[in-house]
Formats: sequence, structure tokens, C-alpha cells
Amino acid sequence: MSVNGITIALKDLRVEFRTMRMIVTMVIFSLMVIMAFRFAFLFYSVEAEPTIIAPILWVTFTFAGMFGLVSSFSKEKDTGSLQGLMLCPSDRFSIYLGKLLSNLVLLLIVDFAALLFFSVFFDFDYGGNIVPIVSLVMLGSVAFTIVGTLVAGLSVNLKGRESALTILMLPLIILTVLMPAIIATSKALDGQIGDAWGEIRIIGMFALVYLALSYLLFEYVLEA
Amino acid sequence: MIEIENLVREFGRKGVINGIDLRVEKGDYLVILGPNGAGKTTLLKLISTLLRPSEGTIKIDGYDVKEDGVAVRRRIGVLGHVSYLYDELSALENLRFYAKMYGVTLGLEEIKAILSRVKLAHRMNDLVGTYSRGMKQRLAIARAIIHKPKILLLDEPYTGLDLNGRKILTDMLREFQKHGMTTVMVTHDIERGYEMGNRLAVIIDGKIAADLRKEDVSIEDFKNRYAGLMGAA
Ligand SMILES: Nc1ncnc2c1ncn2[C@@H]1O[C@H](COP(=O)(O)OP(=O)(O)OP(=O)(O)O)[C@@H](O)[C@H]1O
Ligand SMILES: [Mg+2]
Repeated sequence: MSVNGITIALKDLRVEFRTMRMIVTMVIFSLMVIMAFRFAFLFYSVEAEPTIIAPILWVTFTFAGMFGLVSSFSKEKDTGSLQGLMLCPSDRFSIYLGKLLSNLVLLLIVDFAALLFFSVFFDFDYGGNIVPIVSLVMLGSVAFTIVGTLVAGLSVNLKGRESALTILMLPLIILTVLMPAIIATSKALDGQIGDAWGEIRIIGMFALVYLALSYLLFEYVLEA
Repeated sequence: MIEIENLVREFGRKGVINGIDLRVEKGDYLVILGPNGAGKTTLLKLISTLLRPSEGTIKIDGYDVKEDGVAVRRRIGVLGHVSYLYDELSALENLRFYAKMYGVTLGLEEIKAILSRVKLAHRMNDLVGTYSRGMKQRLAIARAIIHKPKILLLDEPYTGLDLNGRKILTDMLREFQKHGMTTVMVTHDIERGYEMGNRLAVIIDGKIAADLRKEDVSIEDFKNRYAGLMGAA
């Protein structure tokens, strides 16, 4: 099962790095968002403090991540190769796992690029907080991708699947992933990661709930 | 062996498969004909677990498509309307990927041998996106049999093939038949269907309108009956 998930993810990533279809858009998008904020800060001379940096980062991750999710099933649906995956002798959850892994790798690349852009453009030093910050970003991205891959799979057969994805996605992640991730990240930026266990627990718990939900649903959501 | 009982499939409120009972024995070569939109592709998708039945059951070697999808999928090879191939990968990469997915370990030589059978070995490192339609269909054939299935489900498999490609496919199917392969082939070509199959079924409006053994009907009779059924439909 998981072996096939890895095989699918490696195939996806091979295709992606050969064509650079999504990753370039995602990285450039994150660059643009951060530059836009940088200009706003220049004009209004606001201090870049943790409570402002954290949402900027998460807005960037979330929207760049959406780009990747939108096409993760729909492209294969349109070319018909999704049927090829569905014909393989493993349960459908392994297709979910494959897409989850490849989406996650792309998102993590964007995450790291965005963190880098941020520190360059804002001349910001993560300092000794880099490890907790990166860990939080990774945790939040895992949770985001768990939800996003499920919703992308659920919506691929719907008519307005792109809008369905965003409409379904936002209410599912705002309270369970996005808010706790923003709060925890601003605490981490402040060197107070120790205070963020509550948020971390919420993200982790909901990630597991959504993963379990995906396991239960995925056998039934995909149809050719 | 394929056992289908009281099969119904609806899309929304529209019944596309409207109560099909069908038994295909091991070694049978069932040819399915019928007008556009009759439900032939839908039937193959139901058998291959791509769609779920609304009602009724389908069993492959005793495994239910709803409960034992994995066991069913392991036994069948499917050649569909689309190739299931990735344009951004080479033929070799495509076959390697699917071999892994089917849990079969194939060395380079073995994959080359499969590609030679469909006369694509010389192009195996080219991206499939650069292939012609017929070349893609040849590769799709190789993909469909990579795990040595016991049952083949073929949806208009001759589409896009040139004379040579058609001969390769026919020879291959004949050889499989000799070794006891169970085959279900959808086609619009009555003559080829009659030539290849040992059993002929006609689907109209999601129902079996005729189901005949080849030895019971001559090609002329069959053509007449088919024309009659199509006229009535
Ligand atoms: N996913 C779907 N949603 C709604 N209707 C569908 C779907 N798939 C098939 N149908 C409908 O089911 C009917 C049968 O389609 P199917 O593809 O099985 O026909 P077919 O016999 O293979 O025709 P052809 O000879 O043209 O290939 C058609 O009316 C089609 O519009
Ligand atoms: Mg069809």
C-alpha cells in the first residue's frame, strides 16, 4: 500500500521536475507576496514583529500550496491516467498517500523558499529560533496537505472543482491548522516555542483526524 | 471467470446499465457490440472497479468488485478509451512505473522484450508525448499486459492502429486465447469481432439485447440480426 504511494509520489515529482509546471509558479507567487508586504512595510514603516510576520508567512504558504493542490488530481483526471492508477492492485488510499507525499514535497520547497525570501527582503534573522520555526512550518504544512489532498480528491469529480476546492478547504483548515499555526509561529519567532504546545497539539490532532477521514473516504470518493 | 448479476448503474437519475446478467467462462472470448452510448464502456468500467455498481454484483474469480477490489484488479488487464500513459515520461519509464505499481519486478531486458513485441523498443527512451496515436496505443497494449493478467478487458483496442499494429494485436490476442485467457472486447467492427470471438453479445440501452455463441450463427445471420436490433433501438 504505502509502497505504491511512494511509487506514485516519485512519479509525480519526476514529472514535475521535468516540466516545472507547478513549482516555478508556486515559488514566484511566494516571492511576489513577500515583496508586496515588503513594500507596504516600507511605505508605512511598520515594524516587522512576530505577530505580523507569522500571518504573512502563512498566507504565503497557504495560497502557494493551493496552486499545487488544484492540479494534483485534476490533471490526471483530464488525461485519464488517474484511471490507470485506479486500476492498479492496491487500495485507493495509496493513491491518496502518493498525492499527499508529492504535494507535500512541493509545498515544503515553497516553504523554505518563502522563509528565505522573507529573511532576505526583510533583512530578518531567525537566529536561534530557526529550528522551532522550521519544525512548525513543516508540521503545519503536513496538516495543510493532509486536508488539501483529501479535498482535492473529493472535488475532482465535481463540475466547478477549482472553486469547490477552495470553498471546502478554507473552513476546514482555518480553525484547525491555520490559526494555531499562525499563533504558534509567532510564539516561536518570539523565542517562546515552549508556550505553543497547545497549538501544536491541536494541529497534530486534527492532522490525524483528517488522515483517518481520508483513509475511510478515499475508497469511495474516486470514480472514473 | 466473470459473473454479473442484476447489474444496474445510474448516473444521477439516468440508468446507463439497466439490469445486466452475464457469465463469462474461463477461456471465453466475448465480443460486445452496440450503438454509441449503449453502456459498453460503462460495463467495462464497472467490471474493472473504476465505477461502483448502483445495484447488483460482479464477481471475478469469485472476488466481488466492491469488497475485493485489489484482488480483482490484480487479475485483470484493461485497455481503455484512453491510454493511461504519462506524456512527460518515456515508454520505458511508463512501463517501469506501472510494473512497480503492479508489484512485478522487471529488468531492463524484460521491459525491452515487451516493447519489442509492440515494435517500440527503438523509441523506448523517447517521451510518450512525442508518440503518434497508434504508437501510444501500442504502448497501452504493453501496459495492459505487464502483470500477466488472466482476464483482458478491451475497449475498442484496434483504435488508431495501422495495419501492422492491428496484426501485432491480433496475433497477441490469439496467442493469449490459446493459453486460456478470458477476454471481453468491445468493438464496432462486426467482422473483426466475429473473427476473434467465440461469443457475441449486443448491448442496447444498458441491456443485453442478444448473446450468441459463434457456432450458432453465421456472420451473415449475425449482421442481419445486429442491423435489426440497431433499427429497433
Ligand atoms: N460519468 C458519467 N456521468 C454521466 N453520464 C455518463 C457517465 N459516463 C457515461 N455516461 C453516459 O452513459 C451512457 C453510456 O456511455 P458509455 O460510454 O458506456 O457508452 P458506449 O457504449 O461505450 O458508447 P461508445 O460506443 O460511443 O463508446 C452515455 O449516455 C453516457 O452519456
Ligand atoms: Mg465506449
